[in-house]
Amino acid sequence: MDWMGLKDEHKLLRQDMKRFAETELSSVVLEMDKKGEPLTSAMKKIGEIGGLGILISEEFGGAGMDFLSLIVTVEELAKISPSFALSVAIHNFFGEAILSYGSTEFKKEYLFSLSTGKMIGGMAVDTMNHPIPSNGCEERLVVNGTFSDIFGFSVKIDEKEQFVVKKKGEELKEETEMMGMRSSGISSFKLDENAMSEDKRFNIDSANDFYSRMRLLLASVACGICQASLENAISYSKERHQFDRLIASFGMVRTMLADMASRAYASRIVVYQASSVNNVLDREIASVFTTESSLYVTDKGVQIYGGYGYIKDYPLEMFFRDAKVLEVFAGSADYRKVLIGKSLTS
Amino acid sequence: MKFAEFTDRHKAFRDEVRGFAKKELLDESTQIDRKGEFPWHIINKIKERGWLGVPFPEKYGGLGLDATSYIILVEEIARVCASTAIMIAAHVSLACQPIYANGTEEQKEKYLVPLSRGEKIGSFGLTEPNAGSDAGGTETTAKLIGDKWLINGTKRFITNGHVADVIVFTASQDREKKTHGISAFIVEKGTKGFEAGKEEDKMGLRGSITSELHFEDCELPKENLLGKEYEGFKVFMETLDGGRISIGVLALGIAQGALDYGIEYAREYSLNGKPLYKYQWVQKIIADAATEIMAARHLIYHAANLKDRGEKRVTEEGAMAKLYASEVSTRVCSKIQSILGKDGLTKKYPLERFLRDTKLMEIGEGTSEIQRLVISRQIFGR
Repeated sequence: MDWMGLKDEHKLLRQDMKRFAETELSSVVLEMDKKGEPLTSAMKKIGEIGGLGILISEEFGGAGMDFLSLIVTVEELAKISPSFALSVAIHNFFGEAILSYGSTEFKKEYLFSLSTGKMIGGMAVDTMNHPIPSNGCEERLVVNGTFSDIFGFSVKIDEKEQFVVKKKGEELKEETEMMGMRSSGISSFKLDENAMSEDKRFNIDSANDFYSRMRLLLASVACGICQASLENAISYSKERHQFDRLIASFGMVRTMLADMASRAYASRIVVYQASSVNNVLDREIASVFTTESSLYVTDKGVQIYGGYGYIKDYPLEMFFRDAKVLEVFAGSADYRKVLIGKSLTS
Repeated sequence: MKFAEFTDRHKAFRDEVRGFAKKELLDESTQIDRKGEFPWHIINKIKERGWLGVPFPEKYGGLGLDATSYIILVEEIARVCASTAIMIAAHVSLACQPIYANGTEEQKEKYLVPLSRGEKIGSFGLTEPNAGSDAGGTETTAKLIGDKWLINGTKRFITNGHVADVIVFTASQDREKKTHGISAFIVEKGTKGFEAGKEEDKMGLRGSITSELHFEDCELPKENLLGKEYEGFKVFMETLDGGRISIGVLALGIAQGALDYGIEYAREYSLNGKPLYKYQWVQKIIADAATEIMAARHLIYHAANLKDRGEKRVTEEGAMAKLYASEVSTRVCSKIQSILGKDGLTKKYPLERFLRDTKLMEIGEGTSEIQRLVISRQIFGR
């Protein structure tokens, strides 16, 4: 099922990205996930075909495409490697942040390098707060942290949201023990005075709007995971025989596939729709629904694979872990639902 | 929360195991997962306490306790380290139990005694690459040639695989006869023509061993048949009756461990300056988890209690207990992981391990879908 608002250019882009993912990612993705290493050479290659400056206007060396184009790109890459898709999404969105909030000199200095991939950008994605120990110091997780040249995060100073951009320094610690998204080069840093020093700051006028767009990008990764888990489970159920029948012929498997397909389809439509209207609440609803759906769909996918879903020889095991990370990354889904409920009633 | 079903003896045993788990296992559990190695040092301590033979009579090397005590053991260990707990569950429920229930006196002397004492480690070879849910589709063959069995075939996803000394397994004497052609056998490590193959790289339970087993013209003495010829299907169906309770209690233990941790975390951590436990969305997760865990606990210990009262088969009760507890545990672990936010996503905190570990409980020893078939067959009489 496809969304009616998709233009030919989006469909072509999707085909290109599908081809890219199959050639450049599929043979290495499981191995890199095991090692917890980023797919840096693929990052370079996707830069060569314009995948790292999707939202950047042509005057700064980018492709000047719309937000839906980035969504479609990320979704397609996520079908093979959710980690890589997340890296591409965050790099592109970091460029968008510079484009939206940066000074003219700053744009000139960095945007060309970012849109070609000569320079890689990272960003703290945990824009909602996460729990901290009483009297503890806040920590942030940075996607692309291990291999980016420059990264950004947002802080509230005097009730004003500011976007802080820093060259990568020693404060970033590699998170080697992530459950999922193990090829996204995730790092963490403590949000103390040190983190705030020697940086460039820009005011963000509408932080909610900005970050809901980023959370929608996380949702597009989840969307790709849904599609891929469904497709994998369908193929597997059409190959695997038990009790002298294909498992696809069993009622219980069929209902599971139907539940998976419903959520996969709905996720895609809701994400595409939300990317095309200027409404924060729509994006938040789409993002929570989709990230929760991806966990549901991968869980059922693992179930259909049985023992083979539990081992690292097949992608379902990785999809399950990646989906869980997405669901919590930008703030726990349940906590975000409270905020959605608040918006709905205010 | 009190649980009404335990006698004082059960409570004393539970406290003993809980104390051990806290002292010897809690600090090790993260490392066991990180390293992905079989925790020999822990197993040795468990063996010294006689806990690898809890429900078997003393004359067979066991502790002579009841089924409920054994289930308590698995729960308390699983609360802390599921990798260790599944090693025990596979050893007791799947290797010792079928020998105890079906073995000759000689077989019990030769195999059950050292297994119960923990001098040897046991395993159960049922699943094959093409025979998972459909265990009756066993492709491994057994032929009686003179006074020897000739075994050929491959087993997969075998818990304790290459660390096991004694393996109970199934093979078909006549594949045309499907389930009625299967017999059960015992093979020992080191037997010519038998070896453990590739070890699986799994999502969770990374300290437990899961291997392939290969039989290539493996010759076994005639007396290594377990039970009667062509009755292997019955042997493993009865074995799985009890096995399901042990997988169910593993899930229960993991869920309880996750809840314990979640409660502690919600007390000590704050979100936006407010303690987590004061948020209603957190209270809802904790209350639902506690309720579902209590319901699962009743199903599990009800099934164990029936066994202790002398019920021969607990097929329906065991399947219900496993189905419910395993699904509850996945839900509980995932939800509590969300309370922790990003702390739930790294190995520095145990929740991500709990979720990876517990997912297997919905798959191993019959998927949830198979449990639903088993239950409905009991209800409809097939």
